[in-house]
Amino acid sequence: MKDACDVCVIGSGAGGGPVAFTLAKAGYKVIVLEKGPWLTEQDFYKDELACCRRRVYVPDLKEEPHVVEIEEETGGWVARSTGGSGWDFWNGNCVGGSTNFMSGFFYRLKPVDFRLLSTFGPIEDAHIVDWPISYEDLEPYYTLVEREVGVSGKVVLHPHNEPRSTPDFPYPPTQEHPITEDMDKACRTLGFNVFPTPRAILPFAAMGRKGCAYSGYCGSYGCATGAKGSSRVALINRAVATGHCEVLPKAMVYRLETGGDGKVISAHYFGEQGTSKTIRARIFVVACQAIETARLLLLSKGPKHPNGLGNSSNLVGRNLLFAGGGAGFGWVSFAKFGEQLREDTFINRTLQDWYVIRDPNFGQPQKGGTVSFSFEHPAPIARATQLLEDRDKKLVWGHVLKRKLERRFRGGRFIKLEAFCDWLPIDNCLVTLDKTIKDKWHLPVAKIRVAFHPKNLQVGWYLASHGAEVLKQMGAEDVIAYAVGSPPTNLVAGTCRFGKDPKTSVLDPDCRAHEVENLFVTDGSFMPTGGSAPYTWTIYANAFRVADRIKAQLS
Amino acid sequence: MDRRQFLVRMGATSLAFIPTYSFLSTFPSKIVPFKKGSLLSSKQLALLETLTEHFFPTEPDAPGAREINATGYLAWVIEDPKLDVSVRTFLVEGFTQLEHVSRQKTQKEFSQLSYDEQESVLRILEDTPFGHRWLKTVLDFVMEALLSDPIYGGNTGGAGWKWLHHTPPFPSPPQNKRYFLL
Ligand SMILES: Cc1cc2nc3c(=O)[nH]c(=O)nc-3n(C[C@H](O)[C@H](O)[C@H](O)COP(=O)(O)OP(=O)(O)OC[C@H]3O[C@@H](n4cnc5c(N)ncnc54)[C@H](O)[C@@H]3O)c2cc1C
Ligand code: SF4
Repeated sequence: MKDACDVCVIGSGAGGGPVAFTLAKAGYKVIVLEKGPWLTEQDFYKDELACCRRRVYVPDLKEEPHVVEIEEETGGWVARSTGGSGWDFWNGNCVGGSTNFMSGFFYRLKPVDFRLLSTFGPIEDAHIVDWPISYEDLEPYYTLVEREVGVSGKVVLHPHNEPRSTPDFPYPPTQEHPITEDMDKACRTLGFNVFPTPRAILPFAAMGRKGCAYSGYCGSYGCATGAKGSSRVALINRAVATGHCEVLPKAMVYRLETGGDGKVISAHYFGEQGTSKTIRARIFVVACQAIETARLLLLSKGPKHPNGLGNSSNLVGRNLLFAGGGAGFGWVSFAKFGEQLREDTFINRTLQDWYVIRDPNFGQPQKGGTVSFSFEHPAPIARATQLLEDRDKKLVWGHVLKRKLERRFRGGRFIKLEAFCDWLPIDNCLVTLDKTIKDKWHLPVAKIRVAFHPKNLQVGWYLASHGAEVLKQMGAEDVIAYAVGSPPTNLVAGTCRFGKDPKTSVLDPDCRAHEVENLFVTDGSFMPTGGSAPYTWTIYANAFRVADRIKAQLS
Repeated sequence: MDRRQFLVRMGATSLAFIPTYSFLSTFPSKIVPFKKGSLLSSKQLALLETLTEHFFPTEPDAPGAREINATGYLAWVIEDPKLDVSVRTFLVEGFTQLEHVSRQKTQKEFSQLSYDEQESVLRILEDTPFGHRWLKTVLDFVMEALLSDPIYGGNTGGAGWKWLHHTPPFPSPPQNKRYFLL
């Protein structure tokens, strides 16, 4: 058995990094157990086969699938293993987790996100609640993330700015693509308040990391410069440098063992050779990303936890959240916008004018969201393979395919818009343990039932159609906007919502399991509602906040 | 709005996430062990060459299968020990099916057919669920041969990137960091 440590952190991504960093810096002995390998900048290249087509940063779906359950056209639910379904809910399994592969569009939530229920009232079939903490509780930690992880941006006043304790970002925005000027002009004409999207990307070298190289290949690819604020480069490396933190890669935790008093005594994990090992600690922090966190707790039954660890409320795995709601595209041609369009800098533009929608044509004032603009990902194979089928699903090849490729690659680029509304928590979006499918360690895999509230579509559509106006106004062609119901598999939260009442929540306001004094959950699982913007900045900030609570508990 | 109509939009992705390409979604997993070196006969290689050239013909101003080494690339894909065995089996099975359809419809081997005959045999094959999946998978790999890093054997000298005016991504992987070595 490995020596006891003060804190054992399970998972090294956005939820794990801040805890490891804060506590190691405070002199506590921290061990991080991370399922994946320890890759570094020297392992990350712009290799589409590695990242996306052979998916080397996530487990083999044959060995470690999930089961996804969706509603059929005819009603009824059908469950299929991701070992054969085309879905993949793994997002990055290596030291630093999915943050290595994120695009780093970074948003704070706003005060209204913390009190959705009291501001707008209940929504039928949605389990919306107020958060047990306020924006003011989290604000100092948002600011801390700006500094420690490195967030670049520029404060521009608009109707829904969230309050800040500092006047501006510590890093100026990353370089902007010339077409941004056309977009700004279009927004001015339409009376929209556009602003630069904050990015977890360093525009220049700082904190021992290099500045962005503007490779264009950011999302889904690891960063070779260290400019992207992954948990690994921004926090885990620095935690290790304190001398108080040890990271054990290729350590897949499969059970947390509890004693007669219900507290966690040890974490059991499979090491690289598949042998089972154990670590004891005073405090355990779970941050495996919402789906795997729920799975681990459900797998960790004990004498005091017959339904799974911290699950006397039966809420572990429930209220699974994603993000999204709408999307759209517009084509900007080289002929119209010039060859400068090829530049690989960012568009980085966001609209939050409809964060709260006050539009009589759309009903009562209600929660809206964020519209974000970016170039379509340049990864060429992904773009080319989209052209292989025509509208009737007939395959396209030969000269026809070649002309299509020329038009697509040599004619211009797509600008993409994404609309983020609150992904409403509902009964039919949840994680359980599958009863039949097991992974390569013979453990039940997570079964993910996926459904969405129709309101996601209404709001998503409202936002996306406003975004489309911008694209049209700036002269983009073939503009389309649509609502999206299916979940983006890369933005996952919920499953262990925090709250004051142990009957209606899994975690207390400090993200400690109500009934397990030495168990904390610090990834996105704690979120009872997801806010109307991508939430990784919030996960980072909350994990820093909880780290302070853990520090207090340890001392 | 009808909720179900959106359920068909599987696997939405967000934030510059590249859509997942899952080989496993394309065919059933009948697993037959792969014996190295026993996969592609010279006949099958010739068939593969004819097929990739049909799919991606050489033109005066545009590279074709030959210029991007599509056949070599696909042969490598099929032999790649990291490739899922069921994908490999599926790919090899497709050659048999293609020959079968060709012989059934024309009494000739696929490689001996004229361009138009090849086209009609391929369209007949495409009409079966297996044939559609198989041809789509081969086309996917031809796109890899066209646009993946030349270090994997396709896209010779960056011919695909140059043709499509695509800025080569940087940094590109060195030999010791090819995906199967990570
Ligand atoms: C392509 C892509 C683009 C994205 N872009 C953005 C963006 O622009 N903006 C934004 O806000 N968010 C973005 N995200 C989302 C962001 O990456 C996640 O929200 C964030 O990383 C979630 O943090 P986490 O701690 O929950 O999970 P992760 O960061 O994934 O960390 C979880 C870690 O736990 C490990 N683990 C899992 N199970 C076990 C186990 N049993 N034992 C040990 N370790 C385990 C995993 O290997 C992983 O390393 C993006 C994600 C992807 C994939
Ligand atoms: S260098 Fe810049 S563009 Fe490239 S991955 Fe890093 S942060 Fe993204």
